[in-house]
Amino acid sequence: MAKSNKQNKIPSARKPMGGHGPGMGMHGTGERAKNFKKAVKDLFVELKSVRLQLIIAMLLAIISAIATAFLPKLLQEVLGKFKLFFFPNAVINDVFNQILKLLIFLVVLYFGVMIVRIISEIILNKAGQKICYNLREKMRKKLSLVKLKFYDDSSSGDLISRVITDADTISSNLQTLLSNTIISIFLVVAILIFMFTMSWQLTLLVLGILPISLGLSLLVMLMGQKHFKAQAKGVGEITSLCEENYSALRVVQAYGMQGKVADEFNECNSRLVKNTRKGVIFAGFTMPIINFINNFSYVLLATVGCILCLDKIFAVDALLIFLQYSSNFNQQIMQLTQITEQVQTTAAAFERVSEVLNTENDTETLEPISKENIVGKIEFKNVKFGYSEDKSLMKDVNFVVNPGETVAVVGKTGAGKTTLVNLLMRFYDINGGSIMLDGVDIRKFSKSFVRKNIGMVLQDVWLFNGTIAENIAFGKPDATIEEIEDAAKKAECHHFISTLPDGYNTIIGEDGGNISVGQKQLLTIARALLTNPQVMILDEATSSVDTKTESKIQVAMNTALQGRTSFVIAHRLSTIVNSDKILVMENGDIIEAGTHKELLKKNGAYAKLYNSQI
Amino acid sequence: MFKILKQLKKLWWLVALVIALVIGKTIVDLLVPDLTSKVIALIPIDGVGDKAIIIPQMIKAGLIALGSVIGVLALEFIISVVSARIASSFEGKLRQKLFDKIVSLSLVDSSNYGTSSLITRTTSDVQQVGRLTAMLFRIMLSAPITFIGALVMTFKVNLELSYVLLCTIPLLLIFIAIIGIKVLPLFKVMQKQTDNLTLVTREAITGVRVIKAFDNDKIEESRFQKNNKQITDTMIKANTLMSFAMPMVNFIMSLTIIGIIFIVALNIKNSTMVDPALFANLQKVIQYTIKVMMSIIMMVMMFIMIPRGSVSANRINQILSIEPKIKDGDLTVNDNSVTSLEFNNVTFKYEGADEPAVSKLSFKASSGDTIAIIGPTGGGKSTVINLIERFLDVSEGEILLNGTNIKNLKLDELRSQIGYVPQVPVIFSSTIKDNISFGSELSEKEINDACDIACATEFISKKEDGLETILADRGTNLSGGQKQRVCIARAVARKPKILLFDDSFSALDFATDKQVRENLARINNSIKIIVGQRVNTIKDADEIIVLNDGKVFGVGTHEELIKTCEEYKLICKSQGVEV
Repeated sequence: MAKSNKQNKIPSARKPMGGHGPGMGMHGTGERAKNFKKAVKDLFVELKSVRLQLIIAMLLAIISAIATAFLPKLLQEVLGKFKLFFFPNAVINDVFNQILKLLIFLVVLYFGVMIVRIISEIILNKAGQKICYNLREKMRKKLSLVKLKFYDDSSSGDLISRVITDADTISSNLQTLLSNTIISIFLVVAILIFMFTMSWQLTLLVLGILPISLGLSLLVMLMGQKHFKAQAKGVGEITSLCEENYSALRVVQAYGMQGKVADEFNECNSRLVKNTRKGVIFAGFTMPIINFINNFSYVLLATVGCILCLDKIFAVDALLIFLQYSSNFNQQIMQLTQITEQVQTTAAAFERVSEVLNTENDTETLEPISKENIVGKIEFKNVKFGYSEDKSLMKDVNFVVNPGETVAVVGKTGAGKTTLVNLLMRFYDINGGSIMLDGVDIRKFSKSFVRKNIGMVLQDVWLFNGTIAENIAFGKPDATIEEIEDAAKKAECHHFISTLPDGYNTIIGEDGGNISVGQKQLLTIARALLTNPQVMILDEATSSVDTKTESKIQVAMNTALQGRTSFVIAHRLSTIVNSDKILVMENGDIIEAGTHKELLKKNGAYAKLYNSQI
Repeated sequence: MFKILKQLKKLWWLVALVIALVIGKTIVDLLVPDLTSKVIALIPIDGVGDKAIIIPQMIKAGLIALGSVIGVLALEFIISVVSARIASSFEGKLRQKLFDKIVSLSLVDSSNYGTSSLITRTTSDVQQVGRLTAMLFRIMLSAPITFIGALVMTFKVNLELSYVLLCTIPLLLIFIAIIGIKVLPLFKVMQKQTDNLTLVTREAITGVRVIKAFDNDKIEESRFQKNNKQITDTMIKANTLMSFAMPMVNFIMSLTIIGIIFIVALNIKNSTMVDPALFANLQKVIQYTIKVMMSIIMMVMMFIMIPRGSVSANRINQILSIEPKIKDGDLTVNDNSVTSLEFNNVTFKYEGADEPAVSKLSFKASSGDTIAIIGPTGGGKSTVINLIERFLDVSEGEILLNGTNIKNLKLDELRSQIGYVPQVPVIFSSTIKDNISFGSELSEKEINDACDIACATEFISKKEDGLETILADRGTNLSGGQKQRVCIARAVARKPKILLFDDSFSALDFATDKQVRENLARINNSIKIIVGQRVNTIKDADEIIVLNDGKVFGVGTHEELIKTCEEYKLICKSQGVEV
């Protein structure tokens, strides 16, 4: 199958990044923020909630940095004391005691530094997790508030990775960033001062090597990055190839395409292998180069330092300490070079999170009115609607449904039947005209009021990971088991539930593998019946249910829905001939309306449709 | 984990090379502190000496040390290149093998594992194993050599000083073990909790309409919050423990160095002899001590990595070791002679099921015949289709193609005789044309004809790019009915001898359904098997089989069945078809 046009695909909001998942260790190869400055600024706003912790952690980090820098200096003093041993008239015991005291002091100091570090890491960790928690909560709350159109335009995988992975990336990167950066910066400054006081000649040498080492590591980093990006892209390609072919396994096999898809995979795979190899090579270069720079400057400093020692400019013990400082200095510099990369990744992840958080909220009615009892009269007046501004679907829809009536909506796929009921549920806002419930524009009610009073069984089955009982009670969590069973009986699913080993406590999951599509539809009907709404919408609610069961459900439903207004969308016209009103839709508008008999007599679109079925 | 490494056989010479290089590098690396300390050792302890003699000596020693440092770098570069080649080829081979295996898996096996799990196995599990392999070569080999080498070097310098190491190494190990024992279970919990959080998030997104329809946002939000809280708590616990790790390792390292200095001081106190190379040795010992400690940390990291990699390796092995349940036959099918398909007392039972999904089904169809299967959901209709395609193999009885048991036929030849339209339309992200020709070489006319038969020409011509229109992942830019029509066109385009329709008209409106059936009726040199829910879809068939609970309730034409079969009559009545 030719994939040459892969990039021309329908633009989904943003594809989930291949290899961005947790535990895949691909952090640092992520994309860059589009508006870096804004992302960083927004991030700082987010940090306000943990201001206090951050300040404390920072202070502790400064303390530990200064102490860490000071430690070798003390060590030098110890070594200096060793020289006293060589003085002809030294009192060995005195010197030893001095050394011992210093060493004990050192142990205490090292211990102190350890404690300070541990505390600051714990504080930062909590702060980071708090941010992650907050971001996730905010995003989840946002998801309840956005327009449904937002969901139509974004891929679910991408949204999930923003809530799960990106939030995690931000918090874990923040932690290392905050602790490492502060410590590194202070250490670099402190060490530099100490080194200068010990020997300006050697310090200049250290600084002279610096541009070389920085240049080298930056070079490797930049070269590697290109390949990492190519690698991440390759992983994405492979993932979508797998997804496509694995989910279409039966068709692939039925058409004998195993060889062909394997060839295609091979092509993609070889590309990935090549990019992986280059990426891994560069990743492998980083450590040796850091190592080399360390060793190189060590040897150089040792040699030059020794020559200085001979000139009595420098003492051997001081040289040893200086060497330690310089290797620590190099280490910190290397760590700082990694920081830019981390900042970029964090900013990119945060930008993806902010995109969710900054999505426009769905309009909500201010000061909504409320009514005790809904009778169920519905009226569409000159309703205009389109999913996007430039494409209007409904131009002028008008109809009235009296309380207790059953209305059937028929028409070809894509005629706008589902859209009609979506508008009634206020899933989308209309562009013109008005929809009235009991004579009141539904936009004057709160959304939740409208939805509480209108029950709906949707075209596609959605059940959550939980027991069957929990799923049926979804709209009424406090329902008793009797009520649940009663609803199940009405929806003709009590029998099959009873045959399951765990009955109503059977867990049904994402894939819900243990029950068929038809059975799932029955559960969703039971779920809607339990809430007992005044208006009921059935959108192809029984399309996967066999007709025998369907007619049984209808009988039950007719009794259950007596006196209630209901909308039925169905392909099988036989199920709707008894409706009080039939609306025939085409291209978004209602082209015919009336009872079955009236419409047959009219001999129009409905009659044509009906006759094709008999 | 190690079982999977067998796949490395073909790369053995590269592996041998990398092992040799790593050993060489580690040894040179170990020499570096020794060589540098030789420079420092040249400084007279009392600071008195002849500069003219000492400086050239120093520079010489310095250059030797520098040479060793450059040597290490060069070796590391070569190792990087070679091990990257090994790891990436290994990864690639493994991935290809897995993919090849998966696309030929039987229906039962593939649905046992589930699509998403198969995807993770092909992508991130393979990656995990590849990454671990690359690490194995570099660290696993060098860390133990460094550890032993550095330890020997410290012993060589001064036996007493190394006693300090012998005290602090166990301390380090005990401490690492404690953290490990406490943290590792938390990581497992965390993985599970991440899965849970992902699940509730996915549910919130995919179920947004239902949640809103029931006005359940608040409840769902609290479900999310509960999971979010759990994972946050676990993360805090685990990270708090991990906060102890680095500071404590640093502390133990410093403690070791202080201990060494203390021993030196003690030695001097107790003897009048002072080692002239005191400072040089001290420097050397400290360097080696750091190496010993670092190699321990590296080894510990390996021990954490290996179990994680093993999980992935096991998941890969699981797939690779699946025995194909559907065995290929060796008889060829003569293309032009497929004229009959016969079910002879066919029974099929899923493994572990009490009742057969299909029992004792017999029928015979010849070229031009249409056989329809109708019955309630879960009645065994799709199973019949799966048996003809050999996605499943019969438990009893036999299916004969031109009198030959299909089990004895070559699988690809059998399947190339069949045009299959699945229950849920399968669309590939490619052009409509590619979706229809799907691997076969078809002329423009053949494709157009197929579209005409499937009633797809009209909606395709309305698209700006016509047949070249690119379909999105899973065909999200087509309606359900349009997707089904593309799938029907795909099946008829290759003019197969057998056409299988697995409830493939369900999303078509009745007018289109009727038109498609009329078009199909004109194809008279194929056997057509239609599974359906609607009586209208199937009533013109030459033979209708009524299936319920896997049992045959009636066989005959529409007219015969409405007289003889109660079950069929009920179905007709429920659909408003006059009996």
